[in-house]
Amino acid sequence: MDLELSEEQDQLAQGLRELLVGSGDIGRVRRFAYEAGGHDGELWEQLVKQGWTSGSLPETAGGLGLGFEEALVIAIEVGRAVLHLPLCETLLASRIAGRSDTQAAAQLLREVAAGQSVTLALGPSTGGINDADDGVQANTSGQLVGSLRSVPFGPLADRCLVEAELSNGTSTLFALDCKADGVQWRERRAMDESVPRFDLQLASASAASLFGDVDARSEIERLSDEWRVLLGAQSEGASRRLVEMTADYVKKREQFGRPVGSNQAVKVRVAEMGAAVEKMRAALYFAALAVEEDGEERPLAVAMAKAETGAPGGFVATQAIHTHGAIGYTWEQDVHLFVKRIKSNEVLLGAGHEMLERIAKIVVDERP
Amino acid sequence: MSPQEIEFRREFRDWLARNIPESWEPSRARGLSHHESWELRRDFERRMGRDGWLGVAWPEKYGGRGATLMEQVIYQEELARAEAPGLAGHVGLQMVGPILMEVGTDAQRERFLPPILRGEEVWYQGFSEPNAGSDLAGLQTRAELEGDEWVITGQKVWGGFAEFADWGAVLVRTDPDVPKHKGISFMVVDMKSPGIEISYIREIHGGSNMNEVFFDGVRVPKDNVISAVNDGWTAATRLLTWERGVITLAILVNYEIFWERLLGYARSTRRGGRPLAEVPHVREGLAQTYLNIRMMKLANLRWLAHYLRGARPGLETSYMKLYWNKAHQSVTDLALELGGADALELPDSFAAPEGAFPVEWMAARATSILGGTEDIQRNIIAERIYGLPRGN
Repeated sequence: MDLELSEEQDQLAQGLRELLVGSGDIGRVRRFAYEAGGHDGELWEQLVKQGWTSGSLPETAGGLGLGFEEALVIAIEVGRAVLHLPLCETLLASRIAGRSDTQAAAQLLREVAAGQSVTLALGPSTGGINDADDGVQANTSGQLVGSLRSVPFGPLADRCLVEAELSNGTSTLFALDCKADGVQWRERRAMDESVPRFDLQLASASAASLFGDVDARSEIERLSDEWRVLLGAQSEGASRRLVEMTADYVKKREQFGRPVGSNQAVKVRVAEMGAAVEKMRAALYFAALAVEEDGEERPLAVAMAKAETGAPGGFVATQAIHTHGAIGYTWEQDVHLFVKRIKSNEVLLGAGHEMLERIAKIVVDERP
Repeated sequence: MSPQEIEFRREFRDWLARNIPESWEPSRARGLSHHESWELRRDFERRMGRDGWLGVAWPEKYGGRGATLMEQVIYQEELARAEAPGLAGHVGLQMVGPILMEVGTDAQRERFLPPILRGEEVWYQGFSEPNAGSDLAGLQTRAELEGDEWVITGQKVWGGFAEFADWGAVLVRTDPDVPKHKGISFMVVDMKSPGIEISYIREIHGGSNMNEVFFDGVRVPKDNVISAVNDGWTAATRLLTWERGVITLAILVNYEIFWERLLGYARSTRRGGRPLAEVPHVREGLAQTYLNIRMMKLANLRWLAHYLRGARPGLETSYMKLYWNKAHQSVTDLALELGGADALELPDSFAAPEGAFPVEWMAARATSILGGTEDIQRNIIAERIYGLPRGN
């Protein structure tokens, strides 16, 4: 990748797209996530079988050893399909576990290789949740106590990486069995029902630290940055599909005896939506390169990608509803499924104003 | 970047440091009239030609350096970074030269290419007309064949350097009876010919860089048609695509420099007891404009990657034009806002950063219009990328 996909990366995207479309596409998301609720074990199995869930595992751990650029490509397809499964979270968890050599990390890698899913529960400071929220503490015997809000997929995943503070004041990540004793999940009704959200309550739950008692704050920061980019990538995939759907719609829909898309006012909207999406793509490629390099450009590149997929994603989403007219306001039309994913990702792990302030800290305050 | 490209950058940077005249005041020239510093600029340009720094992109067989696309980007960046005098020869170097290489005759190439490379002859671009702007193909300046000569009558507008130009590259209608794109020819006109009258258009900042050129029975030898008669449109559109494409990477460096000036101003100017750079709204504005400029660059580099793999510039240049405009207008809007009272007056001195704020803000108004308006770009995106039906 040099700000554009290689042929192999492009084929990777095609492969996942075929699987997701073939498995029922948006109709399946509606059936499983919006109507039935619960875990779509059948589709997860297919993802496991084709190797998608273990994509980011090192080859030594039975995975494909794909890099972050490939994770980005996968996340774009996840967004395009508004996938209702914790694929991105599982890839991120295997990446961070792959950077540790503890027993707990090796155990998690084995579990992912065996087809288990993993979700992520970051603490209030990294996760962009209100300061007043509780976090999780680990007592001296390694038991977790406390609570975290709005964990995606919660108990629908097998494992959860939980950020917790140790008694010596450092932070690390614990690999938690989502069904262990002392673990309680309470479902919250989420705007984006394709990513169900749960509050996590921990009353003396046993879990193992991925980094022993070493302070893992910088690893957690890196994880949250990688997550930001993949959230942005999902928004790009969803946004791009919305532009295509909108263009198709205004070509077919007629009023006053001609397609509404022949009106210049409508064309301007579609063109601006397209321009927003192409810019997002450039921001994401740049961020993926910076994450892969893990140099000093990473925080800036990530904030740029999150900002550039945030408000512009929201713009594409709202324009898509509007341009579909009244039908865009209905439950029946698919537009809202994408809109909800985009708007949720826009605010998760830092909304636009937080990302701009991050950029300002770097380019206004820190640069000479 | 390859070692060869790094060396190319170093070599050109050194050359610029040694050769930009000391009397050149870059900030003074911004947005104001070209002709005020004409002689100085011409000297500099001839010196560039002498040392082989003009036409770096031209193939070696035409006397160029055969620079790679990346080297061309570096070249443009270094020119902008050094705030070198803008090249009056860009019409010849970037537009006329490449077109002649592609479709010119041997005689045309021998006559016109070498003086362009030496920085000796200046070209004027005569495309737009009062009634042919966005609808360029609707141009009405006509040329009629009389014996061995074309006789041109009409009016051109928005091109620059007409007064100083040796040659004009002019689009004219040679067949009024066929569909409009099919009756246009591309001609070389001696700008000192009888029947040419030139006036200046005063721009909103008070400076004058653009001309109106009137042709009244101007005689042009038959051989001065570039490509075939009535085949001028293809060459012209090719040239315009390039104008709004990668070439904007060079313009971008000016915005980066401008943004840094604005940052310096926001850090050093105190209002209400604190530096502007500590006011949340200002910080957000600086971050957003930084993002806009950086994104214009990244989007350009993404497509540059396509061209490096052999693709030709195409419809994506319409996106670039939109990003370009957003970058330029948003940062100058912020400058005018932050400058407050400092930015409302046209200063005597351009030494302080705020001196450039009002002039640059006014100059930025042109960005959404020139090289195909924003509205035209949006139409292109909607109709040709997304396939929306053409208007009624």
